[in-house]
Amino acid sequence: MELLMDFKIKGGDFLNAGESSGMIKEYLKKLGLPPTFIRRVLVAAYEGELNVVAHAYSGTIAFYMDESKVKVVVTDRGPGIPDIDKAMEEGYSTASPEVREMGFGAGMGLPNMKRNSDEMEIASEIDNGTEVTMTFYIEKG
Amino acid sequence: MSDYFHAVYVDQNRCNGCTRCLRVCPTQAMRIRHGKAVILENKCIDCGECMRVCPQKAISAKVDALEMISGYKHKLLVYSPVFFGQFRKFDNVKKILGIFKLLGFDDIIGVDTGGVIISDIIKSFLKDRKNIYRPYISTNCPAVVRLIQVKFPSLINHLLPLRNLMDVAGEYIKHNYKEQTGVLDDEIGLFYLSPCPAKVVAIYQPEAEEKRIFNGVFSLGDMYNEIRRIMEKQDFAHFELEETILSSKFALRWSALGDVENKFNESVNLRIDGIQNAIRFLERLENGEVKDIDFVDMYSCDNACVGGVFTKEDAFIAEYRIKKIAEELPDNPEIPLPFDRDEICSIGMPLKPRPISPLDSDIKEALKKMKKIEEVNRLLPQLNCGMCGCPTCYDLAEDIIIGKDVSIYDCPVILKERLRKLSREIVQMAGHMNPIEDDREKKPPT
Ligand SMILES: Nc1ncnc2c1ncn2[C@@H]1O[C@H](COP(=O)(O)OP(=O)(O)OP(=O)(O)O)[C@@H](O)[C@H]1O
Ligand code: SF4
Ligand SMILES: [Mg+2]
Repeated sequence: MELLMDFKIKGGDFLNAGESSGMIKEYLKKLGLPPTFIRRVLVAAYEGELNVVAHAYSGTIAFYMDESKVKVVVTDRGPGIPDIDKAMEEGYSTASPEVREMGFGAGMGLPNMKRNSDEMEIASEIDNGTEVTMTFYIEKG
Repeated sequence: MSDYFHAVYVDQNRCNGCTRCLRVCPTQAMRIRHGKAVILENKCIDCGECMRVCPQKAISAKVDALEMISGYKHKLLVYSPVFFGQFRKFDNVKKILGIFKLLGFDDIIGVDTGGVIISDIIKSFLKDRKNIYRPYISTNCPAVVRLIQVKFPSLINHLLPLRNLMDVAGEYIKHNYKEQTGVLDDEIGLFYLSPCPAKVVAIYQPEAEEKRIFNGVFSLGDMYNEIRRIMEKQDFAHFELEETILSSKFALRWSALGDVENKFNESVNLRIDGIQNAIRFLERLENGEVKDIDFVDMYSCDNACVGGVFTKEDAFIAEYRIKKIAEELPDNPEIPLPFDRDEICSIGMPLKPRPISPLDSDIKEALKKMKKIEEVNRLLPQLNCGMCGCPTCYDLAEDIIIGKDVSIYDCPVILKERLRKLSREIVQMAGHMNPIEDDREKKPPT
């Protein structure tokens, strides 16, 4: 599979969060893939991007593709995820109650990434970083 | 190649290829070819932004001629209440409606009446949490509906799956008239007085209906002319229409100004006007950034329909007048509903997306083309100046690769660079002495 685009993500840059996944979406739209497929990739990539912004120091999002599938790899340097199974639970978030009160940190990011991708792998090392790899198979339109 | 009807068209004789339309088209549907503007049928949404800016008045919209009504025994008119905003003296709207009677219409009703009929249905639709595609976007502006179908196909489920106000009003007046008179369908001509080309398209090719509801459509501007002429010629004091239905404060403001807030107050509603604002919002919605909004009343024109392309009056002034007229209307008017309200408010069939055709139906080929487009695009200066006849550099790159009759030398910057390089080479070549020449020059002629 060929690397088509990659972007840098800055931790803590909430203002520009979503721009990289927006570019991936534009690419897929121009290709003319089915809207439902594009939506799956977009939602997952967006949540992945946002997790780097919210939880890590810096990262990249890489977008690979061939005629049958799309792969999005989100890599970051950050604290890592101590308990991946726990993090994958719907509603689990380490966000403080204050942050949650403001409407952020619903703990739905990772579950949404899982739901929208066909395959998802997480590799994480404490105090080093996390890599989330998601694969999406293009449904015949 | 396209089955899509369009109202907006370019008069090739008037167009001088100035590129103004190219720059404002929100869907990049314009190209200049052979010195004239052409519209790409699969991208155009008939918003009419190009008509507003054309200095040559070369872009117009198809509408029907008023004479058309003579072909029908019974003539019914649904008017956009924006019409009221066009007159300086607006305190007696019944007089304006009276003139419609004079023109031969048997019954007349405003689009706003559709608002009175459908608002409770929308309210309970929004209340029902089973309806999950929030925010729902109103379908009152056909340009917005097209925009979503063409540029944001993934958002199609966000379009409110109910009839728009115009169609509700049309069905209503027809049902009512038939009930009162016993007249048959085919003797009735139902017409719409439109503020814009988008509605013309919605009448000729309704998006969520099996068949057409209206028989014809007139331009609000043409009608304004007609009525002003009558006003100049005749004393119309007695034209006042007594038994006409006027709507409510809310419905009038909603249908002309897109002012929904206070009616659906149990949900979170937005009003978004202006095509660029709409695009920005839809982009965010598509990215998943919009949360906790239930309903968006979205309009292509600045100030919503009072800003329609066919209007004459300044949109802000028209808005002021409409608000004044609305003050005089009741809060809850009595609109006789002798039939099933749900039925006339339901769409005939679900809305479908109309995405612009993919680069290639084979994904592998499409990917190859995409790469080539990006390669070409990287060579271009990214000035997006329009001088190549495409709205952006990217569009030129795309047009080159998908095999339109264009070349990279249509870009004046590239052309000039190339010419400069060529002339440098020519000078170099000319300056370089060929050994044979050299020999000859050195040798004195014998
Ligand atoms: N890239 C990451 N680096 C470190 N920790 C992460 C990373 N991604 C997720 N986590 C941890 O996993 C938890 C769950 O992540 P998830 O995306 O599901 O929810 P959230 O980010 O807290 O909230 P939401 O995504 O709904 O706004 C986070 O609270 C965080 O502690
Ligand atoms: S906002 Fe109103 S006038 Fe303007 S295009 Fe839409 S429907 Fe027509
Ligand atoms: Mg998250």
